[in-house]
Amino acid sequence: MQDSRTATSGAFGDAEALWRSTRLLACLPGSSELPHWESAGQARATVFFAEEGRGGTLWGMSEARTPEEEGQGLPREVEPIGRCDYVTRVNAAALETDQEEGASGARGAFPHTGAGATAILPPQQDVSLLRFRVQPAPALSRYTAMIHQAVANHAKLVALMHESRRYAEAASPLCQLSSETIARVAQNMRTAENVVNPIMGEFFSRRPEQQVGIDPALLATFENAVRFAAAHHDVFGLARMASELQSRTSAALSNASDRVAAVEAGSVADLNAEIQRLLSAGRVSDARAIAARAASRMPGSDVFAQWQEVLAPPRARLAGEATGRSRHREQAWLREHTGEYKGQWVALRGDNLIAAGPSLRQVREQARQAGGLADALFHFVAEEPPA
Amino acid sequence: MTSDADQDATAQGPLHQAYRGASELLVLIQRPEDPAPLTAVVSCAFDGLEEQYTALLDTGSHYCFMQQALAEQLELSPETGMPSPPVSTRFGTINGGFHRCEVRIPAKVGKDLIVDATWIVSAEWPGPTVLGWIGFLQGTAFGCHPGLTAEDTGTFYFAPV
Repeated sequence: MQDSRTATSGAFGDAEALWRSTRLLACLPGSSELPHWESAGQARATVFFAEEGRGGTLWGMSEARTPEEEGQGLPREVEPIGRCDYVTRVNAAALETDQEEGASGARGAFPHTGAGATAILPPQQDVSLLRFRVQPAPALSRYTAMIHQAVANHAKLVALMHESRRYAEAASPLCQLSSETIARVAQNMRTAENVVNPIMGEFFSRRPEQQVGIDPALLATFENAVRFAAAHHDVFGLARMASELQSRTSAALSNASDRVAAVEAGSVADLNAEIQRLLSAGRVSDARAIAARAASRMPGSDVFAQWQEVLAPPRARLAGEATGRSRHREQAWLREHTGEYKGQWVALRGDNLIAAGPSLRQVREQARQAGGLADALFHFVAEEPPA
Repeated sequence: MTSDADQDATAQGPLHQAYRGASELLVLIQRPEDPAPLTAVVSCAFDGLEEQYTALLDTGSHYCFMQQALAEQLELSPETGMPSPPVSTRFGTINGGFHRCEVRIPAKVGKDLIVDATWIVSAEWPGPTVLGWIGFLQGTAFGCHPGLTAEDTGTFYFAPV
């Protein structure tokens, strides 16, 4: 049998690896006496790290079982199993030192190697599945909380799937699935779907700029990775992306070198307001520049695409041959008669008034009936402006 | 100090622009008792409408305005546009929405001019359609000739920038 102390120290990238760690933990010396793992001195599991230099709460799926439950593999609810006070980057040689610190108990040390970490859990903890919670930057808590929730729910999903699989594996050789077991498996599956799908649906229904203030290319990669991880129940992958997300957004906030970056990390509404403020101040060029940058950084945003469109400089071009004609007869008529039609639309063809009235729609209709609209010139005689 | 070549280039810069078309410029000189001041308008055509509309040529206007009645024919409304800033005009402060809409200036000489222009559409705007600086004139090289006699039409020369 593979030794759990080494088997659980690597990085896990998919659910299958997670199950291997779970099973190995269950095979720790003395596992038959669960939940008395303290007899083994320490338990070890692989978790993903939060962020270097930051603490976080280590959560785990307790698989403490009574002797009666042993053999049935019934995981309990997800619950916190330890507090991560500090995370440090170490190399392989340093792992042993940290392990020793962790073995002392109350203050778990969670050195990591980049893709995963080896957590030394305090004694008297039975752990089969671990996940972490990143401390979100305040401005991004709305977003990262969704990631954390997704991580949590995927962990639960994995556990539920595992439980269901165990039931199936145990029962299938004999083809004696009881109705109760079948119902429970089905319920587990439904629960898993109900937990995960709304979270991920809400997450992906948000516009990119509402999700995070990172560049579009990275965001697209991130979204694809999250979809993949979710499809494969890869809780570690999700956790890794949450960490990546936080580090990048934190950097974006602290290193914001211009108004766009700062506002972008906040909200669309802020940036929208900034554009309108600049326009009100007559700074059209500045507003145009921000709209262009925002649109390029947030290609999925209709708002900034529209701002970019309306604030773009006019684009002029020549087309075809001349289609105009002399309007000197219309000019003569307008010079002579406009004072008689204050507040009205007039439709002219040459020096003929073909329709007039306050409603453009009606004047168009009259002109259409009087010989057609083509070549007609419509003019509105403005009312006298207030003094 | 600039070289002769620089001076030549500077001097010729604005004059080097060759206008590529010219349309009618209607100079509406009104009588003192008429409501509107002196105006110079050009004919404009909008996509989907057979007829042409006069538009005030106003180099002093910050923005372009489109009469709401005309905008309705083009299915543009203030509410669906991006909010424009309050604009101080002779009719008071105007709020509305920005829209992008192509306009064609039919030429009597040369080629027609088509401008993908930005307009403010506002229910508060009681004036004419205005070809202002931002959104139209800033993308066009233009010149005006008022006409040789009072009865003549003027000429609006243009070229894309």
